[in-house]
Amino acid sequence: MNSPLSSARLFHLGHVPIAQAVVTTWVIIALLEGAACLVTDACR
Amino acid sequence: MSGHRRLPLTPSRTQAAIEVIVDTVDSQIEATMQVKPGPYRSFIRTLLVFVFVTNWAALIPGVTPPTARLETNAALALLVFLAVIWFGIRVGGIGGYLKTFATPGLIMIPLNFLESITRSFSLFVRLFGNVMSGVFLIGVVMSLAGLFVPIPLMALDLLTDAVQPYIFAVLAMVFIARCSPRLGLYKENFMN
Repeated sequence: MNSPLSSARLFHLGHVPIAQAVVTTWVIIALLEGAACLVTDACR
Repeated sequence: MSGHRRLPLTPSRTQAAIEVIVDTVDSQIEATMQVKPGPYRSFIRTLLVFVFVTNWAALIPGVTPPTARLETNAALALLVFLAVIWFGIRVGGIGGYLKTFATPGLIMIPLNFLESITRSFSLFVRLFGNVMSGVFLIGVVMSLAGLFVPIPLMALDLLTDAVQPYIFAVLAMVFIARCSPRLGLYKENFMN
């Protein structure tokens, strides 16, 4: 089991390492944005 | 519903469900900060929904909730730290905001300053500890016992994960109100 304090690096954006948790966060933000747009449209 | 002027007067099921969420958060802001929720609702609601969804991302097999990692929680706590300064200055001006550090007396300035930093740390370590411990415990139990043994623990973890966003948002509201003179909560508790 991985240490909860270590983060798995997926790739680098220039010199900045991007961790798996960050990518998951981006996906969640995109999904929430999409859901918000759908709900807003449904309420019109 | 805030910010949407073209909503029909007879709400659909979706609109009714969203309005329940919006009204609940609004009444929570009003009860905690003792102020009209207008300027705060976007920030607090976003925090609440984001932390809730990230915590419950654990339901998807193979996904570790981002809130079980320090960096996500640190970023959220940094947002709260900046929001405290932003709303504090917006409500009381720079002078009013700085004066909040001198309550209840001048002698408290160093302690209040230190507290403004340490409480941000406690905010993200609390969320990290609660979510990470759930993920870790389920991992350990799953590796020791069979496939179905961790299910009650997972249910308990989901409950904890649902409570944490509320705690995070309420603490964010208290921190903002603590540094915003002229808000009801501040007047009631921190003014001489």
